[in-house]
Amino acid sequence: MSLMEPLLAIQDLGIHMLTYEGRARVINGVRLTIHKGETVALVGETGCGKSITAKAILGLLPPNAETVSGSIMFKGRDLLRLPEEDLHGIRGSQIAMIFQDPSTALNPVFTVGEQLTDVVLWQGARRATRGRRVTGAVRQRCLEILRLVRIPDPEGTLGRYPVELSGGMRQRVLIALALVGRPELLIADELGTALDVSVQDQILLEVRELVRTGGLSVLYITHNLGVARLVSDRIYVMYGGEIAEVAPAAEVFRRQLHPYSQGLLAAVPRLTGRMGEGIEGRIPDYVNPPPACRFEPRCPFRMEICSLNRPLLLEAEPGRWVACHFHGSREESG
Amino acid sequence: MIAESRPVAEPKVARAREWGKMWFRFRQSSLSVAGLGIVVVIAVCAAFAPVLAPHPQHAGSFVDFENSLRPPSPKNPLGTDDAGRDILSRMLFGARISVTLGIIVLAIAVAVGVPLGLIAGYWGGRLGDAIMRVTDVFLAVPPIALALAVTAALRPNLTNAMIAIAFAWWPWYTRLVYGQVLSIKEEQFVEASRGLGAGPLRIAFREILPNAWSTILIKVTLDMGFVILTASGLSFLGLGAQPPTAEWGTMIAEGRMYLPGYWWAATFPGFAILLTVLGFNLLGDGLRDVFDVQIEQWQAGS
Repeated sequence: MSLMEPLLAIQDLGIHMLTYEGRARVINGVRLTIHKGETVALVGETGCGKSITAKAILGLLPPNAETVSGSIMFKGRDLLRLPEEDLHGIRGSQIAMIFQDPSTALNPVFTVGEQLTDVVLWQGARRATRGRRVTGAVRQRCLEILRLVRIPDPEGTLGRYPVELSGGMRQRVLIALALVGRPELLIADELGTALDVSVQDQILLEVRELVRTGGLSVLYITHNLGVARLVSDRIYVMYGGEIAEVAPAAEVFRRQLHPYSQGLLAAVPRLTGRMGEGIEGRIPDYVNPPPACRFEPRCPFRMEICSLNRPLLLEAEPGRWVACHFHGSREESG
Repeated sequence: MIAESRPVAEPKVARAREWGKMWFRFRQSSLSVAGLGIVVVIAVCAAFAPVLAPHPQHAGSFVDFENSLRPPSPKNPLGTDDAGRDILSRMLFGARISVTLGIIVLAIAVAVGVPLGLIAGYWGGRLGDAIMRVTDVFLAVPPIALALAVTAALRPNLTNAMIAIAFAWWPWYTRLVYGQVLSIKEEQFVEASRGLGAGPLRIAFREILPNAWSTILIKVTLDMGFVILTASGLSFLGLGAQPPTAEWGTMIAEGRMYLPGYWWAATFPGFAILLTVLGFNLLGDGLRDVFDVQIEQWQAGS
């Protein structure tokens, strides 16, 4: 890691959700940093807290969520303690999110052009221009961004409604909407998961290209390790609301330190025959989580200490961090 | 990806195409087209009453007892009433009153009810609860009874009838919009626009409300007939338009005394009301078909 101050630094994030069953500790001491121009993937099973982490960054947590600890520093400001009005100025123009489902994330009653224009205007209104003039410049900007995300016939697409577009085109429009405000950090939540595999790959590669040329930082949220390796520089493996392992993307595939990462990789179906083995058991109960290591009940290598002390996220090798007693000797009493 | 070399569709063209599609769906049902036809005829009658009416001066306090209660004839196509006035002419002017009243009442109901529903649905909380409980109180009383009470308390005339009906009508729009907003605000595009930096006002009015307009428009169309019916009801009871104003309900009230012998005096204005309610209902159903198809397609297309 460089000595430069990171663009985004999440420290000790703790989020509880108030549910019928009780207080669910869904995010427990998550730590994550993204440097300028870096692409980071947050990988884990469904329900491990990836999306909640992403939403916490944008201040879009559901009303029953409660932030109990930590900070999310973005360019010197703690997003968790920023008033809602200031967040409006950050969302879209500094941190933008590409939403998961291209079929529902576009407003059905407006044309693509209207939705793009809206974003350009309402962000522009805070910066320079005033009023609602749809000038040639705004239109040019919309066309430019549609060309950037490789939409064929951008002029025609401006006048189309989301229903008239295919899933891949809608996904591209969503990317355009996120990019049109020239953000510094892009959050992509399960990008392309709702699309067919071939279209998904194409979109992922295109976004990677955009990121390379535009100098953006990206946080990918995905359950698919293959996707994570394809697009990211570093991978954060998340389990049960905690970071299990952090490593450069290529290294994770060579050798996994955390038993959960091993299981996750083994679960990926291969073209060469057998289905993956998967990991036994289920994600932890967040209301009554395992007392120490949250992966302990499912872990094939569990030791006595695993149910007594919570493992800390420690640097096991240069650039590789892991929270597992199997690798670290130091621990924290849980 | 290779840019297709298809003709460039400008936004205006896209709009025109959209209208074309809607018209195509609308005309699939002949009943909808009939409804539209009726509504257009009523609108034309209302707009050009002075030109179309064979005896425009009969609309007001005209008296010609020589010709009272004449049956339909070439001179008076729908006969004359007890004061010798041409019924067709009075009905045409009655259309004017009914349509204007309907538009004003519904404009008030929408202007009051829709923002309240939007506030209650989007912001909720105590304010939302307060709005909805007041609405519930209004909804508990049948609109005609509430309108009756209000007109009885005020002086009975056409303006007060209008105020009374609007007073009874807005809560239906609050309720409708409230329900719509509750479901629309959970849609992902609302969260997406928040994620892109939209503030709450923008989300409420620019993202959510436009999605509710089609439902509101359908209800307005359906209600148009019922508002006209209610207004005529009030006039019939002597609480709305006062004689000698040519209003359908008033005309029925006056002609009713001569039933069944001089049937035309009450029957034709009655038909006018019937046709109006029917026309707006069919039109409303047609619009619902048009917009529902759009919604279904959207969901199926996902």
